[in-house]
Amino acid sequence: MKPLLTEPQKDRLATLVIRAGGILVILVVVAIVVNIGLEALPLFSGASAGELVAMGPAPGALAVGTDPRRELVWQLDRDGVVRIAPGDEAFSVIEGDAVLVAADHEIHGLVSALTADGSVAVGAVRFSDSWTGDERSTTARWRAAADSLELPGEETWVGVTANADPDGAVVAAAWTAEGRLAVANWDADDESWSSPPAALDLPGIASVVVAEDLSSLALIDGDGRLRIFDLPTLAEAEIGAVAARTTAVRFLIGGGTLVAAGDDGSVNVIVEVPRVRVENRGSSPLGLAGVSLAPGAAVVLPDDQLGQAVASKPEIILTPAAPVWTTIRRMPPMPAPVRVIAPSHRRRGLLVGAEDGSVGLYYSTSGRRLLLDSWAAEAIDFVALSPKGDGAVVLAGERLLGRFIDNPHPEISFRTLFLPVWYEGYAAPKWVWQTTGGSDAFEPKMSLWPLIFGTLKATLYALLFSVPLALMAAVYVSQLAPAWLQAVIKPTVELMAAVPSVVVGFLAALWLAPRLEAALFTALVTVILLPLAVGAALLVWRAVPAAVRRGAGPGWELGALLVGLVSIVALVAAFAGPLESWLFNGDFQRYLFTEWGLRFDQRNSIVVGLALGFAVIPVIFTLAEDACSAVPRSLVSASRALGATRWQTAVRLVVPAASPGLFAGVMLGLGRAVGETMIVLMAAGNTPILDLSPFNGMRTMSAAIAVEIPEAPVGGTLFRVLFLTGALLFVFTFLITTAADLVGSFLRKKYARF
Amino acid sequence: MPVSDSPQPLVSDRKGLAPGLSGIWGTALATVLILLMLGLLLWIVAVNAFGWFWPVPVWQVEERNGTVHIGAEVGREAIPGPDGAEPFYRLQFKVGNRDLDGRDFVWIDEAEIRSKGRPGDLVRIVRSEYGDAFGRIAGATSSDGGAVEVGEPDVLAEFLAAGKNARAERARLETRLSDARRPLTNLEEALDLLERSANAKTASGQERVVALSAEVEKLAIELRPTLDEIQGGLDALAGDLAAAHLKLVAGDARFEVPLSNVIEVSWPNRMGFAGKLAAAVRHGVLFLVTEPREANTEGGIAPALFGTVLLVLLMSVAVVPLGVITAVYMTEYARHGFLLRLANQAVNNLAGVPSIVFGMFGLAFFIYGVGGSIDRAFFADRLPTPTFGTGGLLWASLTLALLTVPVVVVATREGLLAVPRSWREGSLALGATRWQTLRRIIIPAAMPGILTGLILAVSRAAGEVAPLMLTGAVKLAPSLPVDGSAPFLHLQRKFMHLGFHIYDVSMQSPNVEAAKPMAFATTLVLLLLVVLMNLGAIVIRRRLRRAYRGQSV
Repeated sequence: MKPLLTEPQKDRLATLVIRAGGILVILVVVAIVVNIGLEALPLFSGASAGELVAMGPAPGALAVGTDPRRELVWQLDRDGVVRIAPGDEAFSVIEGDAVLVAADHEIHGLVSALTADGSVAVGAVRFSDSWTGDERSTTARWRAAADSLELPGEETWVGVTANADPDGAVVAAAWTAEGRLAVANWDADDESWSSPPAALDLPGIASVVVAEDLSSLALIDGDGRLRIFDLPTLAEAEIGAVAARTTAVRFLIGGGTLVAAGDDGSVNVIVEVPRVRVENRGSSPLGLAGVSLAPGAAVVLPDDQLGQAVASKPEIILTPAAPVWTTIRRMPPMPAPVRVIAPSHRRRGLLVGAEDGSVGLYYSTSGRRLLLDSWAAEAIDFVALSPKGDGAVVLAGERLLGRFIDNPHPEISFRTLFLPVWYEGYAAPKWVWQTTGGSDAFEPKMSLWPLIFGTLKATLYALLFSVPLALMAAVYVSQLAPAWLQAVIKPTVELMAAVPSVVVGFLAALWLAPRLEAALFTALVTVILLPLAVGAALLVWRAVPAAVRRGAGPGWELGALLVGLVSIVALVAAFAGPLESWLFNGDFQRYLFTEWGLRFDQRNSIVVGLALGFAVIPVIFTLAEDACSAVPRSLVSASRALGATRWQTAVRLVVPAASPGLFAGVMLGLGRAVGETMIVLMAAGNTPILDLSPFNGMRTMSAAIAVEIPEAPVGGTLFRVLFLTGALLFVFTFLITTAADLVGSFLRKKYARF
Repeated sequence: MPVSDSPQPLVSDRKGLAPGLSGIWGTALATVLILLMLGLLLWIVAVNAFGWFWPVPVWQVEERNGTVHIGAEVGREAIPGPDGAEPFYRLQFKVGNRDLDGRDFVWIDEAEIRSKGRPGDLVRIVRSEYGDAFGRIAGATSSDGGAVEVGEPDVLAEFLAAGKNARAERARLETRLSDARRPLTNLEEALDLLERSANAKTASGQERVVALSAEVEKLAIELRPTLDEIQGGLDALAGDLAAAHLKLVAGDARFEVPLSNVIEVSWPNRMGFAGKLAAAVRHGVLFLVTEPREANTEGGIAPALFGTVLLVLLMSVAVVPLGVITAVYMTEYARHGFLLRLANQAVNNLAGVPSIVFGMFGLAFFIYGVGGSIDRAFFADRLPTPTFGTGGLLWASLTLALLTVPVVVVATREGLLAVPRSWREGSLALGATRWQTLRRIIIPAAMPGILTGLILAVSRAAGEVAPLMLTGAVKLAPSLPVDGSAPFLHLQRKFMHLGFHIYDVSMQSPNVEAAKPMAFATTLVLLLLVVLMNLGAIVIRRRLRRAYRGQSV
């Protein structure tokens, strides 16, 4: 039988396959970085808008909006009827044939309408799907959020707004041209309006908005001044400096962020900054947050985690103080004064319409202006975002305009990823990693710096522990230890490298961490005592007669140290308790906290340093030992023959000659520590804090990926940010590996003369 | 390096210390510390794991207030006295009986203990629900309601043996039932998928649904007599097992344990050394071959062990060709130049890439990329429920294969480089092609190197967890990836894994304290696997080096 292929053909085929296989490895590396990078790339793509669609004239329309699928558009007309287009569906929001004078549209389709005779209707335009076979049809209906509210009849009401919280409570506010404000609360349990409405007289009112959490109300008075009132008390809140005359104002989702636009086109983010009153009841002055506080004095400060800062100082008394609304961000301005603002229904985005017909899309957290476009020649009268934020409808010059918007990741910018950002509820800009919260109103905080910091911190502690140990052991094993010891230790360390990191992490978290917490003082005393004890032993050894010293075989010091080590640990363990009682009242952790303000977490950097160091030691040791052993025997022999001791030879000759290998070992250890996942995931406590203290933990990039990717919606911002984190890890380790190679070969050339 | 500039005398004087003795001692100390750490790690794991298998005495502790606890002592802890006073100690007992008051452990101050003893009649009962029970047997009721003479050791032993047989029979019948029902189950699944799919609404789709429904019904009628018979036997057995129970007394509590829940009854205080050894071995074997119970805090690790082995087998199938071909390319085929440098760099970098990044690549490329495409092409009628577009055995093993390629490449290269040049030249000179030389001479000679690489890769993969968290390892897989229904090996299924099991049990368990021994035992198994494989690799590599020593390379 003739073979399928002749031998030369087989040979050519094999060559082809093998060459392709070799190149495949290169491709795999490229594929990894490309794939991960591609997942992260859309983060930076910005927003884009579809074609502007003129949807016909809309004379007298007061408010507009769309359904979640952007298939239907509704408009509320002056006759109190909501009309759905396309189609002829229509329903009235009020009873009888009254005429509306004003209306407003808040998020989740909440509409408030004011009739000429002073009655207010509050409700939502809701859409529901029904199926007949494969045909889906979407119908709209009016769902009243409250009974109609009758305002006092003697006034001429000209404006209305309302908002509702998820529990069904409603706050409606109406105002007159003369500056009378009426605010009424709808109690969802009693199903009744508070009566009569609370009233307030101001020098004219231009616009009013109510926050979604129904805790504050903001308005622009007749002088164009922004004023904020607490609800339901209507007590005026303090506002920090606001730039210009305010022309438009709106609360974003959740109600903690207010966006106010100035008459110069500026768009500013204003949040409530918590404050605290600090009183120094001690007898010595105190410096706190840049303020010096004399004994007995008190001052109101932004509450920048002051509670933590003074927790160990009982003489400092903190009491809550009234918050202040502060401008935390000035976003890129609009070309003309802003007339209307619409909040996004599900995140901290907003759409603004200006007097010159331009429309801008903004995002509060990142401060980005994602889109700016001229939509009409006339001023924009009304703007609304679709429920999913993927479209917008606008009223301008009695015409209705619509547009699709693609805006996947507005919350990400270089600044939010790497620089401090002032978030809602914070007293200062901060680096925060807190990606998910309880509700839609949660503001995701995706600063990578706490993760990078955590990674560097874990690496630092691991290397502090492992580099000296591994390098010293490498020198000892390759140069100073007898051959049989070398033959035992090398495979042993190889076995150490094979210990799965999940095992190390498990023991660090559940065995080491609780024991270290219980015996922190003992451990610290041991670490301090150990080198001293070795020094003392050396002195003793000096006294031993030379004849006896020479009698000890090579490598005996290892056994002696082993015995010494164990006895020192036992000795310390026996005496540390009484010593701790004597020095620190029996509680070293409390001493650390009260005297130094250091908090002790069970899963801390010491534990991580030891565990991660354990994983890194074999990497460094193996490479370093190989490098030391590779120093030509002839050089070592020459050095010894010239009278240098073993130690002198090791330090002056072997270490410099082997330095490329030592460096490569440290670099690869660094790479391993940076990317290690399971150990830090289990033993580091995973709190993303910025604190170098050895007594608390960290959250590393790798741990964040492992914990959060399974929960992150595919294609969402968090998913992509985590891929960006992965890409950074890849680049980081790539640079480390390459640097190790380059410096290694450079040093190798330098020492080639040996 | 010149040493002549040394300020110190090069030759030590006879009375003083050799220069650098402190250096020697310091470096030796570092070595000792490293060895100690490794030894400590192995010791902790071994002691805790063996300690769990080894039967421990059951104590009866009476407190000064008269409360009696029965359980195993598991810990002792010092509580610092107020303001530097002498600390006092408290003991932790595992008292089990979780069904009574929901707690497994109690702490008792040593000062509060009036008496402590271990009477021989105390039992530990391993149950399939609510964990262990501790106490003494006060009575028993047989399945017909009659009292059992528990005072008679033979009668009690017979009673327990009968229960054991009944449980074995029940397990056998359950297997028979699911085996007998499998054709029907498969058909029903197919029908379910068809009904949920998009084309079920078309006319032809409707026809198929009707036809399949008829088939299902027909099969159900055909199978009914068999199924009913097995089910009848099962019901009878279950009734018997549930009716028969042991009456236990623990302190003031009296409670019953139905025989259907009893896995093992033991009297640890009566056991001699041989009995304890036998029990420990039995526990160890059971641990390896049974399924986990009670949210992974009890039972065995059989599915995790199986999942791990299957995972590394599949990975080996992928990684060996890739790694060996790359190594052969780099040593035998590539010319010295840019491409070789690039390949070298690629392998080095691949070795340095964090494992979690491989996991992300597996997620983005294999699962969402390739898996998603497979789903759209072949399993469109199941969408949006993913088949291959979600984590599973196949994607996890391919991800691990990429992760371990550098290990195989490095070891194989070492093996290839050890093959003497003269062998290649000899073969080529005799007229063999490059391929023939490679296949007949070089690869066989480099086999130990390839084997070393494979073993190291498998050992690395067996312990790797981070990438598996993203590519399909789960806390509890509903079914093994291999079973009796075609195509027998289900590559898309989620799986359990020893390393992930350790992470899950120790970090995400509802009852970490009770699960800790389980984590230690799993750790021991994983460590033994990894250590044995590595020792094997070390031995093979030694042989390889010895075999070519003295050959001209």
